[in-house]
Amino acid sequence: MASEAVHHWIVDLSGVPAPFNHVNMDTILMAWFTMALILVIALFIRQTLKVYPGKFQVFGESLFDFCRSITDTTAGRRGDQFLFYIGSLFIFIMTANLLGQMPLRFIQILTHYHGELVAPTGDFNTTCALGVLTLVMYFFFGIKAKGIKYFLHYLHPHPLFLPINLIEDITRPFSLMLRLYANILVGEILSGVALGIMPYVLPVGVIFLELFVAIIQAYIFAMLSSVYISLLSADEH
Amino acid sequence: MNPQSAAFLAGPLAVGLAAIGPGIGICMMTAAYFNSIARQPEVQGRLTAYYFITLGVVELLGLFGFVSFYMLFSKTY
Repeated sequence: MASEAVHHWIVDLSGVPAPFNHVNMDTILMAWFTMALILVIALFIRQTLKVYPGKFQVFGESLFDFCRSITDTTAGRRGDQFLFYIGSLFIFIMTANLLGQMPLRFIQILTHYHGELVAPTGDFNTTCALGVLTLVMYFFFGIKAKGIKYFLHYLHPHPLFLPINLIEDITRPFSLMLRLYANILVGEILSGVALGIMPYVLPVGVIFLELFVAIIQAYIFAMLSSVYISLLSADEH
Repeated sequence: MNPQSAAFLAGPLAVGLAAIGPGIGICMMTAAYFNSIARQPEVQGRLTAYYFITLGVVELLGLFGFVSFYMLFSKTY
């Protein structure tokens, strides 16, 4: 039901200091499952590389081309230096969102956790980490491109804009984080409500909508990260 | 009115009121997108990327309402 989707499987770790001793085990399991799946697929595609590509190589190359088109539309040729970050962000978020739509209820047989394993991006902590990572990345590429002059952009239109520019560093990762989290959470709650109204029929439509939302949200997250990085590492005109 | 029933009233109200602005915004944006594609079909590929970025930015305002609803309800249960 609706409330099941948002109740986490919380595990107490004894011997760990106070704020870190509660762990959302379902999120961790799904995040590790996502990473393992991506790693296995990537290693498998690397095995099949040939001069005349097979179908797995074509799949990998088209995925790479799509990731490259994200950095290419925002930063042009300069985008190749942060392609590694944008590409892994896009592939991780897309795989995580799509895995959340699978009916992974087998875990409640093994444990006392009654609920479904949802996408790791439906948890506030995962998206918070991704948002902070984007913040670190645009600081890193900004300082790498401009050196200490990077910090002059806080005074850019006029020194009076300093507080607004400082607040922007908080709102950028916060909005990225909240957008992804809320979209995935809304999808999980909506499919729970649809299951309550008309089982077997209504959730199908909701899940098709969610498959669309999963890819769009991964695209928006990667695109906005790419825009922020290219904006803050660009030369002054 | 006790705080719990006030929260039960305020949660759905927050979702509904927060949906007004992004609804109007996405409508205007989509209308402009379709108008420009009808006028010049060859710009579709370039416009779609910017369309989805702006969609994400506008949609966030509606999701703020949902998040406040979710926070209110997780407090009351």
